Amino acid sequence: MVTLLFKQLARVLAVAWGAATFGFFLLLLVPGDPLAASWGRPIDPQRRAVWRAQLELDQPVLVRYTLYLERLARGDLGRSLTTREPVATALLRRAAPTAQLVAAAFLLALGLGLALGAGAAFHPGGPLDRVLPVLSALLLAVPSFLAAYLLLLWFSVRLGWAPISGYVAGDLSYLVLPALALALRPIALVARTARREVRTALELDAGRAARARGCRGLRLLLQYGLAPAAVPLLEVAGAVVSSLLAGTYFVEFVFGWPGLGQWTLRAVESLDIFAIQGAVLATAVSSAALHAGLSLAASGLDPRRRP
Amino acid sequence: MSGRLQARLGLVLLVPLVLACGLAEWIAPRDPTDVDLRRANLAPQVLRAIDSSARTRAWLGTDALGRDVLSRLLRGGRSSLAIALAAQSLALAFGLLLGTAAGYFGRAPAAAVEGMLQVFGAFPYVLLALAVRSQLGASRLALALALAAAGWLTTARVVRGHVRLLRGSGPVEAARAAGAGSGQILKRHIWPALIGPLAVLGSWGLARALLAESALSYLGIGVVPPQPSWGHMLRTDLVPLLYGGGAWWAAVFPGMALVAAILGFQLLGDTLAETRQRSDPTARRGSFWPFGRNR
Repeated sequence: MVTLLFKQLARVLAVAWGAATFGFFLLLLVPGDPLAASWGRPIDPQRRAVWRAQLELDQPVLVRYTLYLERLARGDLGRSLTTREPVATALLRRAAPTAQLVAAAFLLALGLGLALGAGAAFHPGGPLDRVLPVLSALLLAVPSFLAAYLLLLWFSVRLGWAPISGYVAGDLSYLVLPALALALRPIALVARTARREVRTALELDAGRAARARGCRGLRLLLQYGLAPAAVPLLEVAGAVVSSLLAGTYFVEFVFGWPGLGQWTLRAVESLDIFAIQGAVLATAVSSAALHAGLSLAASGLDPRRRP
Repeated sequence: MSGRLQARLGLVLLVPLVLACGLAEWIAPRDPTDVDLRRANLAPQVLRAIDSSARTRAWLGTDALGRDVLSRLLRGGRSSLAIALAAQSLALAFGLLLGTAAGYFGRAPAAAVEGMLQVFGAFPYVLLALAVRSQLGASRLALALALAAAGWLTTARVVRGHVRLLRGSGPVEAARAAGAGSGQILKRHIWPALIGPLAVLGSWGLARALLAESALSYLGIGVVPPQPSWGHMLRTDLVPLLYGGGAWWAAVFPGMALVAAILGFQLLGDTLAETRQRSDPTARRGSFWPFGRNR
């Protein structure tokens, strides 16, 4: 397990380096002048030269690259060109709402998805089992921005149950609709996997023997249905995490959620190079770390996955 | 719900939509970019049965700038479908090549592909699209490339798993013993066996590509206006609905078309996957994935 842990850590570090390099060279090649874009009006050449020297933009590329990696290793991501705020501070401030949103959506997806999928698998041929394939296909077919609008129109505008948009730390009423909008697609992913795997598990010899012994109800479901399905479910959790991270951009955009996704889009719009590099790095590292964690959990549960 | 009903529902959704969008050039009643403020916010034709003068004819109404919603729907759908098709073809090609390399040719290619999967997998497709757009500009080809850059991962993983299984199978061993080269084995024994999984992945991938394309266009980083696209129609015409004003038909019809198209491809893929599972003895019972998703 310890070797595996180090292997996954090395993997995350490799992804971090890849993302840092990607961010660096991408912005090197990008057409347009970031300084001019962030200044907002023509800069006189003298000021521009001073500024470029301050940001080490006048150095040769390889020197800049090593300086950049060196700063990264110290945890210094530079300062935003538009707000002058250190990028690392801004990222941390923005990461909290996004983490909250993603965590809430993950729990929702897991809870509702498992309930739907296991319920369908427990009564094969029942009404839930017959409806679920098409219901989940429908959930997969609604883009998250559209789902966000539909939820807004119905629950906020029509019924007035939830605030339209914004974020108040600690107030869960702002969280419910964005989390639900983000969770719809993952719910379908989890429900499909749960239905398939729980049914397969219950049909295994162990499941049939347990049923013959008189094991019924929740105990049968948990011990002989869900427990053997845990590893495939962890695998689909990887897809869920990817889907959640991709969805944050749209859901945060619609609900005015002050998270990382919105911040990234704004940084790209204003060509704020250091902010973009920071956002790319933060996204890639958190995604890689989540996947690594899930992979570790899967090998913890399934000895066949250990080397 | 039985597989047959599922397939039927998928086809009922897809066939008319794809046909109409494919023929958009000839059947769209007006130029989709034609702004005419005297015709702004006209309701769909059925809702104003008495009014039938040619100047105000608009089967699905007009938007706030007087552009014909039906024409925009059809032309936008054509470009969305074309982009999704191009993106998914590219994704299948990349995925097939890299998956084969990783599954068939030893450790070094496998490690290289695994590294690429890790790095690409760490970027949400929005970031990939922004990256491609920053380098290649905002063309439809760039958009298709961006979607393909996000879409090849699943294909490569599945292909790699199948190729690994097939490489040790009887027919391949026999062919190798008979002196067949790698190229011949791939062409004769491995790639033909992948047609089933690739059809499933292609159909699901089209659904994902359509979804991603509309989402990017919604954010304003996809198809460039005034070219119509479903995502962009939703971007401009959904917001007024929140304030109770606006022309609902300008947002509801593209939304319905978008969901119908994605749902159609999704159901088609589901049906293909189920059929494959029933008919193919080598497919693992209960799961489409030979080794599970993430390996």
